[in-house]
Amino acid sequence: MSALTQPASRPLEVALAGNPNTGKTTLFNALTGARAHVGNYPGITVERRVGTHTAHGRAWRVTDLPGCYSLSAHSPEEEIAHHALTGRTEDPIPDVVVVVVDAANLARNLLLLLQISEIGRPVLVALNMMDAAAREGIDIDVPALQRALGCPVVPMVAARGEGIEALNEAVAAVAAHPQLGQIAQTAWPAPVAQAVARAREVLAQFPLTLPPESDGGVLWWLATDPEVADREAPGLGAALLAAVPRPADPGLDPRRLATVARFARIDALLVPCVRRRVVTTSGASERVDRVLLHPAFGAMLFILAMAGLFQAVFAGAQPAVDLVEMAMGALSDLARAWLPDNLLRDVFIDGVLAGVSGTLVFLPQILMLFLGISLLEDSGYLARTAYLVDQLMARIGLPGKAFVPLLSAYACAVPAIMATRTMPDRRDRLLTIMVAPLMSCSARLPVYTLVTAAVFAHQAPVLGIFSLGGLVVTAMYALGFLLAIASAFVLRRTAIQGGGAPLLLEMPPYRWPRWRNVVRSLGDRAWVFVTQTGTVIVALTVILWALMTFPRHGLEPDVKAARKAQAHALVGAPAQQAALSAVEREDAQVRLQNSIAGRIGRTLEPTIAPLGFDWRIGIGLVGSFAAREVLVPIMGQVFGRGSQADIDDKYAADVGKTMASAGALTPLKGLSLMVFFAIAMQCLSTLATMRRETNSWRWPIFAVVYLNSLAWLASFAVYQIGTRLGFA
Amino acid sequence: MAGQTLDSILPGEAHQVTRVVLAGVLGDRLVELGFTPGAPVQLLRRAPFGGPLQVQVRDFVLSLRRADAQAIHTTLAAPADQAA
Repeated sequence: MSALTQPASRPLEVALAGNPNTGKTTLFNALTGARAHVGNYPGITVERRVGTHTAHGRAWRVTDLPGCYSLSAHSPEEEIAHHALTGRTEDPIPDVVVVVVDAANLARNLLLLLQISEIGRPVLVALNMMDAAAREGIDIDVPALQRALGCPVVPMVAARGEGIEALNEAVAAVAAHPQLGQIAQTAWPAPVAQAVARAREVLAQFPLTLPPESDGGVLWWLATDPEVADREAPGLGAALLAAVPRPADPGLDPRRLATVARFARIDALLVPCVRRRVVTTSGASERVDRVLLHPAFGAMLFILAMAGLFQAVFAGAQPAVDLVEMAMGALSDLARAWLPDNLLRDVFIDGVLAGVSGTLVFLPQILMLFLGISLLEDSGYLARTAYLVDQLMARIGLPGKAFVPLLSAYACAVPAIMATRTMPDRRDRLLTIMVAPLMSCSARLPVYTLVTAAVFAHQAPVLGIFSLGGLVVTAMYALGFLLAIASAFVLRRTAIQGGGAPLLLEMPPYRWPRWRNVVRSLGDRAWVFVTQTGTVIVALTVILWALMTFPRHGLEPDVKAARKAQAHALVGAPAQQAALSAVEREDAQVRLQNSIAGRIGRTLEPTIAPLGFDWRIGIGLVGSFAAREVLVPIMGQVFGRGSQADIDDKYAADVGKTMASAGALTPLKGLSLMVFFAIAMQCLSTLATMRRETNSWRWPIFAVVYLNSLAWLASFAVYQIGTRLGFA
Repeated sequence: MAGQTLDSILPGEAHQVTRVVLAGVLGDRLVELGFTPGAPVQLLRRAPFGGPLQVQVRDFVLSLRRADAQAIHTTLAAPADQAA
């Protein structure tokens, strides 16, 4: 479609394409400044980033395509990149495609350029990171490269804003004269040409939304995974495979011969354009790797780096978490004082504000973890961590890239699940998301404290030195970890088959992280979490509030009035106050017991009695979906101790002891409760995050079913076996 | 020069890819990353305990598992190629 047929007021559609680690995002940020929107392509979890830019009086809409090495679709990123270039996504077909190329890594980068040109898009090259190439001793003759390729080539250092003006001009030129951005077709060897002819016949029999015109467009469908073709037209994948079968010798496959022909062309055209001043086998990065990947030092530095990251997420974020809780607490107090006392106020404070607070408290940990991850990723070290732990992780059935997310899950599953975005394979990523909640997160600690302080604190130390409570808590961590390994093993063979992606991981040169990119990516992350995950958290919190509130059946009005009268009759203000708050506590207790959640607790009782839990704990199991630690104030309310927002150890211990003296908690029942909490999926924020990261409710529901069944079975085994053995 | 596979060559030794014998998508992917016949390739190091390999192909450093590297056949680069 030529620019001439379009009204001039329409913004120019510019797509940025490129391999990962080429500075494509840096260029996108430099062009679009703060005017960008981050979202998802519908139905999948590939990020969609669109921004605006103005050059020479013309507005551009800039789309940052997902980074990929090749356009042939073996991954969602590649599929989206192709579909965006051929108008199959919500965005219009780009007028100009800027292919961002790493100047120090030309051959591999130019493959993508040829593929994009082959499907018929006008292209130009942003030859980025010229400074790094110069440091590596690589001289590039840009005019010669431009002549050899036949499309504009703009040398750039996007991180310093160098070359932006030249890029503006080149894009405007190609937009005005698309033929300037056309590269001559690669001369295909005979087997490839024959395969293209056969594939073209097959494609003609299927109703494609946009039939490919060029040979390259046909070749794309041929070289793409059959499932991708089937999504376009059912049966297309198999038909293409039947028309052009894969030969016994993979080296003779036309799909590969096409890639080999492209590389041969690239290698030939680069010969007169690229000169290496120094011929060394080891660049600067290789010298750093000699230390950082050293069998002994490398391992030590890795442990230090990971310990630092974990400490930052686990403890470093705590002051900010406290601050958020304090501010949100103050806001609710203010709302309570100013708004009229009615149901609307309650739903606002205990539903909406509680949900907002339940979203914001995760931000400090998310920001801390993603600060760490983006520093690791931008510096090039993250790919090295995967290399270092790959073998260790392979033993538990997960790839090396699952290490950082699973480590973070010991602090909190929410940022951990978000961190799985660094994992390239969809099934590996899903598997990691499904087992991450088994890592014992920090929200479980108040529950462990409640139990251990009530029933294990006064037991004799084991072997004279180990406190029984400490040992039991340690056992919970071990239980979660072992079950995660077992679940990964089982899920890989059942619900999430396949995956186990090959480790083909680029180890990019070490670079100093760009603060602008880091800050930008943190901002995007926080924004997406608050707006998309946050709304689900608020909605779920309101539902939970309603379950625990309705019907509002407290003490009978006459009983309550009589109690209050008795309280007022007492001598002395302190005694009156104490008696009055006791009446309020009892009222709250009765109200909760009569609520829908209370009824669910009672209905649940037959199913949880074999675990040693009575209906009052059942209410807690329902309520702790808000967050696991909320079990403590709910139990406080149910057992008449009142609820308290600040869940400190003293309060947890106090509630636990009350439960113990009411007979609801014994050492065996307590152990059963801890095992249940160590395993069960009870956190609606985690569920909301799973929904957002997998883009469906299917996986969060699956997690609830499988983890809660597992928790039930484990607690059942603990309580039943314990009872048979004579424990109480 | 007798052919070898990428997992078994000496670290630091300059080789050339002769062929990729792996069928299917993973093989396609390796070729797309630049493991084409004649491409310069070098083993940089092996992770301990049977872990992955760090490999350079053309101007590109990546890690891959030993089993996958076994599918990449190489031959020692001629001295003239090394100097080029």
